Amino acid sequence: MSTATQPVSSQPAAPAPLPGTAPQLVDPPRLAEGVELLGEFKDSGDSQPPSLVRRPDGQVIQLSKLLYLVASHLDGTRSATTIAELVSGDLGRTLSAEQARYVIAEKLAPLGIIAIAGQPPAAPTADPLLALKARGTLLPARAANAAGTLLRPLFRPPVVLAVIAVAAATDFWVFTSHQLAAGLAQILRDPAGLVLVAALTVLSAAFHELGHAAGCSYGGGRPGRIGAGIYLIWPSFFTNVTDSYRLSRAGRLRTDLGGLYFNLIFILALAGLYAATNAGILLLVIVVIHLEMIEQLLPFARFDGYFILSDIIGVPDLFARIPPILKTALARATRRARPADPRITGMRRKARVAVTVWVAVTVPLLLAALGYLLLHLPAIDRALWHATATQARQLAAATGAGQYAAAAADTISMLLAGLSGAGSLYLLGSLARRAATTSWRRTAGRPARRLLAAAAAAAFLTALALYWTLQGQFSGW
Amino acid sequence: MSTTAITLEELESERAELLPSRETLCCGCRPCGFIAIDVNVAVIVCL
Repeated sequence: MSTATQPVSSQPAAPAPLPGTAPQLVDPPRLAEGVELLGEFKDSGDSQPPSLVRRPDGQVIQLSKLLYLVASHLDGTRSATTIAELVSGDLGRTLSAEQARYVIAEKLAPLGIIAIAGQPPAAPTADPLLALKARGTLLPARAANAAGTLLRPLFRPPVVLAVIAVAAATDFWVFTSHQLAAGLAQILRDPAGLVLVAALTVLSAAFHELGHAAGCSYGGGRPGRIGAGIYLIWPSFFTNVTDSYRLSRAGRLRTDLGGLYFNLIFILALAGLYAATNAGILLLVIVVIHLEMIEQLLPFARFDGYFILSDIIGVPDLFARIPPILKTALARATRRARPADPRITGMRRKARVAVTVWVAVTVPLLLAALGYLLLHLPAIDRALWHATATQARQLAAATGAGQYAAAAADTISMLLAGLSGAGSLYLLGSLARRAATTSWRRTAGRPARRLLAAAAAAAFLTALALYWTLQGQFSGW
Repeated sequence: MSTTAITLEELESERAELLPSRETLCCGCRPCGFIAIDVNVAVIVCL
């Protein structure tokens, strides 16, 4: 029997309903249709591991132990008194019927997991910072799951060991054989070879995503759709492996590393193709894929390295820990008394140290990158616009001359340069919208503060526009 | 067996967190110019 009820590391998930607008819960209370109890988040970095529930819309919610216990006893027949007795038995501490009613109405219902009489209000959903935007589906969930199941045997230990051993030997040969010059010479002679490099790199990225799906599937999870979207300013493939939240640390890490593992398999296929064709350009593709694999390991944005780090630490959403850590650090720096935030104190010591170091490195890096983008936005988009226009002219010329391979290369470059430009505007637009809505919410009912915030925003935008103008970033379009 | 009662303060501190979708990303489809840079870096590294 468990004992204490401690705060669990988390962030507020949903605003409480406005007075007078609280929805009417069904009585006796029960979970909303389709809500699944997924059990404890395994190998958690929190000293009191949270548990997970999933709504039918796919939103996963992390609950503290007491909240989860209450949710798990809601079956539509038990009264609040019975639920309180059952939870008290589980916890070894007394929860009153009134407290059980409070938990159901004020803590669980706003999350959209409790059945409501009549039309339920819109349930809150996570709106994470620096998430993928403008998603489109390439492989629906059912097909991605089937593909994952089909490729699952590639994660059997003997297969994994064999792939890694052969890939290591291949790499040794590629990086020591000095055959890459032939590939480079091929591209210099015929720039259309770049189309092949680009096409194989994109194919490798798509195969990478299948690796995540297969890794998730091997661990017992059910991968969701595979698609493409815009990440920061880059077009990107993605795989929804939200179901891996319920896997063990090993299962989650296998899912995270599955993409890189499939990159190795792709490299072996390219090496085999090279052995058959002696086309040096394939060796260049192998090296390019290695560079992409290194990029994937960066833990500062939501690439594979981020999820790997997150799973090693046992904290599912590292970005959500940035605000409490910064606020605590600020309070310490200014010697202001501030109540301990359970999202920090709830972590085990090692996890707390690791997350703090990650925040200390990531926040300055992201701010620097964002600051650079902001200060040079017109110049960057001007360069991307020129690149798009140049590629369009070259495309027309290549098409007219019947050079269709070069035309294909120009088409890819034109589309992707255009997309990157649009992505930069989309990213800054999203951040501006987030800043505006946050500011609007936080200054509600305080007109003086709202006016101050509006004045600060206007001053900032004016200064930015002045800087852009003085730098000449609006000219030369 | 007597058990201690859960306080209102403890109840207030019970929290929930909406987790973001886990979406693995791979930015493989970058402009050819960037791939060309990768290619050049690769050649410089290896030669």
